Parts: sequence; C-alpha cells; structure tokens
Amino acid sequence: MAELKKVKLTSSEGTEFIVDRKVAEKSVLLKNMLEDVGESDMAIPLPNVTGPILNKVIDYCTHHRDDPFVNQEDDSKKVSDDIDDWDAEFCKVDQGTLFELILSANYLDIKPLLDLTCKTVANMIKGKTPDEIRKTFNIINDFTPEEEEHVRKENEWCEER
Amino acid sequence: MIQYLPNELHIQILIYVANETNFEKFCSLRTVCKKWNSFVPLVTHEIVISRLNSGLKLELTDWNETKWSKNLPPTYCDSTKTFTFLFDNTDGTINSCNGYKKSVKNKINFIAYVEKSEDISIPIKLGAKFGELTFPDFINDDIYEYQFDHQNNVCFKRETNVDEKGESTSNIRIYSFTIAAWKLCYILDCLKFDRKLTNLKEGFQYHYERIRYFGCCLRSRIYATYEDDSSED
Repeated sequence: MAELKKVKLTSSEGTEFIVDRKVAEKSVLLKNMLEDVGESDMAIPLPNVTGPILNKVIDYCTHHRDDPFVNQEDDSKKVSDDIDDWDAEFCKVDQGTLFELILSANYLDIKPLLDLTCKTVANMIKGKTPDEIRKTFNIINDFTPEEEEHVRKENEWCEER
Repeated sequence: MIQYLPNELHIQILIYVANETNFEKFCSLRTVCKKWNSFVPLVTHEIVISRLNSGLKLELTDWNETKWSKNLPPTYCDSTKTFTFLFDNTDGTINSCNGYKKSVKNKINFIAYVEKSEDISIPIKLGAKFGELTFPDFINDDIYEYQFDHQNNVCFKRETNVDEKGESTSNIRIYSFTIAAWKLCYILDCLKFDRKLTNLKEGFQYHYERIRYFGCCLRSRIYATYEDDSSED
C-alpha cells in the first residue's frame, strides 16, 4: 500500500500537527499552498489558528475527508436544519470555540465547515426574541430608548395588517 | 463574541436565519442592536432577490392583456420599505407595443402576481390586489404614475413612434412597479410552500386557471363588440 503523504501545520502558538495531505486539502487555502509549493517537508504556519482550534478543524476534515467537494452558492437554498449527528455533536462546544471555528473555517477556506458552524449559530438565533438573542450572545443594546422606538415603529411595515 | 465576526460572516448567518423565518419575524431582529439594524435590510434584499432568481417571476397585466413579466431583480429602498421593478419593452411577453388608443377596457383590477413554476407540477401564482386602475390619461407628460397608496405604485410610459408614412402611433408600456416590501415578502413566504394556503391575508389571492378562462371568454366578447363598433365608425 502506498504511503499516505503527510503535511506539517503549525498553529499560532507553534504547536506542530502532522496530517494526511488529503485531510489538509479539505482547506482550499492549504490545497492552493501545497500545489504552489509542491513536495516539501516544511511546516505551513497558520498564525490565525490556535492549537485547540486547529485540532478541532483537523478532526472535522478527517471525518469528512472522503466527502465530495460542494460549492453551494445559492442563498435561497441555505437552510440550517440539515445537520447530521456527527456534525451536531462536533458543534457542541462553547460559544468562544464556535466563533473561533467560524473564523478559522473562513480563513482556511473550508466551506462545509463554515456552513456548518454558521448554521449552528443560525439555529441559536431562530425562534428567539431580540431580547433573548442579546442575552444568548451577550450583545449590548446600543439603541437609545428613542432610537429603539423609532426602529420598532419603522418595523411596523412588516407586521400583521 | 458574535459581534466580533466580520460583517460578511454575520450576514451569512443571518441569511440562514432569514431562509427559515418568515419576514415578519426576521425583521424584528432589527431591534437587537444597531449593527443588526443595518444588516437586516441587506439580508432581506439579498433573500428576496435570490428567491426571485430561483424560478419566481413577477407578472403584471395591463389593459391590453399584455403580460409584463420580470425576471430581473428589483431594487430595495429601506427608507420607503419598498421594492421597485423597472420594465422595458422586452419585458412585455405577448404584445410588447400595443396601440394604446385601441385599448378596450377603461378599468382593470390591477393584481401583481408572482409565479412559481420550478420544481412543482402545477405552477402556483399568488398575487397582491391593488384595486381598480383607470386607463392612463397622459396630458403633459409621457410618464403616468398611479399611486395606490404611499408605498405602492405603478408607472406607465407613453412612447410615440413615427412610421415610414409619417404617421405617428402611441404605445404605452409599464415603466416601473413599486410594491411595499412586506407585500412582496409575504408573497414569497407563502410561495415557499408547494401548495396553496387556505388562510391568506386580506388583499392577496391565488390565480385560478378557470378565472382566466372566464376572463378570456369575456374579453373575446368585448373585443368582438369593440371591432363591431369601430367598423360602424
């Protein structure tokens, strides 16, 4: 059996990860880099990704290593409830980790992971009132009472009539 | 921490929310904070355009039974909360230029339909009723605007052509159509279902083929009468 090609990745703190090239290539950024560099033993530095997050990203890419490449650009078909069990379990992390994963997926250009993590956040928003959303995500209401009333009034356009 | 995400990722998340929330609920997210207040209209615009681009078509009918279809996306104005569709001659699918003097009806019930035909066996057309529209009376201007109310209006344009013999003929066409965002969004929300809903809001109706059949028969009779009248002249 042919030996699988390995790739070295270095997280922001300098931790080194060795992964199969096929796994690394789930990231379009890494795939392009590897194609540009060719065969090399040099580690690829990822200064925007911390070790624990890179570890999670590698977990995700390893699990989905054989998935076909998807390029879904149609916004009208973006729905958030088609998440399989493994992915749902993968996303059971604290909010900080979830948002770090979003940023890393965006940086590494791993569209399925970006979609998954964005869907997870969307599911946390769905069905909640503005007040509940503020509490969930610790968002400060930066409207003055007058401004908020103004927005609420403006919003009457879409309410039942 | 969501507040520290770049805007494009924030918007991407809200697109997922908007796709599975009705527009009324989605718009309430404007009150979360100032940032979300600015994102919600962007997402609404994006979602409306993307839904219209995915097999939905706006259809208007004028006095001459010309059907004006619009596949191109509208523009959204957040200050008036309206979507505006601009038309040109190529958007008239039956008779793009009708002699406006030959119009047989003085009044029509103006209904803006959105048709969904992709991925379903029987197309569904859902329309917003705007009321009676009297035949435009162009006096000093070649643009005639009907204001149904402060948000909804339709504009007609008169175009005069001179033929080889030097005779001029006037034609009218739909120039623009502005619809309250909530009406268009409501229609798009209802069209997400592949079936006709039984409890529509007041002012909305589905298009039934039998009405069109009846309308055609009626129109044929009117046309016949009209032709008879003109031959007597």
